[in-house]
Amino acid sequence: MLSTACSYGQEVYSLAMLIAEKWPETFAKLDIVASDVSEGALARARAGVYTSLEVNRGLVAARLLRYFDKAEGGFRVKPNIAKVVSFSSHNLLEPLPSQRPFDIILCRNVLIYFGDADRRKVLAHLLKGLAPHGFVGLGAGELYLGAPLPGGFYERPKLSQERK
Amino acid sequence: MVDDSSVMRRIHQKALEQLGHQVTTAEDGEQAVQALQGASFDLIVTDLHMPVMDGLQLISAVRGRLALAQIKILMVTSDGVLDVVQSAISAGADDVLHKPFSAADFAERIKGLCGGG
Repeated sequence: MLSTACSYGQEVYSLAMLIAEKWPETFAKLDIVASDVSEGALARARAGVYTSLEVNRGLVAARLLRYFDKAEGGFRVKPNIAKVVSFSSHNLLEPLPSQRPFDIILCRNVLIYFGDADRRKVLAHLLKGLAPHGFVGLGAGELYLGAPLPGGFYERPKLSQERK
Repeated sequence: MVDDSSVMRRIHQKALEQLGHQVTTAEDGEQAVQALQGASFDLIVTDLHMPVMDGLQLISAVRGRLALAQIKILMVTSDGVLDVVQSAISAGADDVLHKPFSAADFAERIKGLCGGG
């Protein structure tokens, strides 16, 4: 999996925790790359240390205890979660650095910061890095912001709908 | 809503009322135990550090009574350390929120515990 624009890493570690909980067999072979254009953000994400204020935002106590160790200034993501995530510097306007195809690429709440031409460029780069039958996940309500999807993309039903 | 600070009681009471809850306040664990004997409650939001009877003692007292087994407990603490979270959960708290917290994060936890809004 690839998690783009990972910022301080909350999404990517949450994803790893979710998979560890719901699909342990998948977690055992899980390999997530998290990318961001900011080296500063990547350094914080790699450290995996979050303050009380940050864990207040959606991390219940049971998960805090299960997935975090104590650390200076807050709580650190446990090694068994951190080990499935690797971080890499990447500008979404450039082709993906990795040669291997990703089953899932998350690109959430970042396209809104690009103009239409750049959005299409970003999506085209992501498509090149996507495995057959893989999918790109965008932010809720973000979709493709009114513009037609670039060639090669089609809209999947929501996963929640597919499962019903 | 159990807190020895009248300011915190007022803030939390208002926030809980905005979420549609009827709120009774207590200044420490002992007052809370007394209140629990007189009425039925869905949720206890308690501070940790209080005189007379602190949050952990209150949680243990509540969990020691079968009739109160279903009541949800959120502990709020300014300690920000894992050991305190562990103690709260071990004593029987359902969740822990770290002070200071935003109104949105508080509302989110309450909804998580009580369901819906």
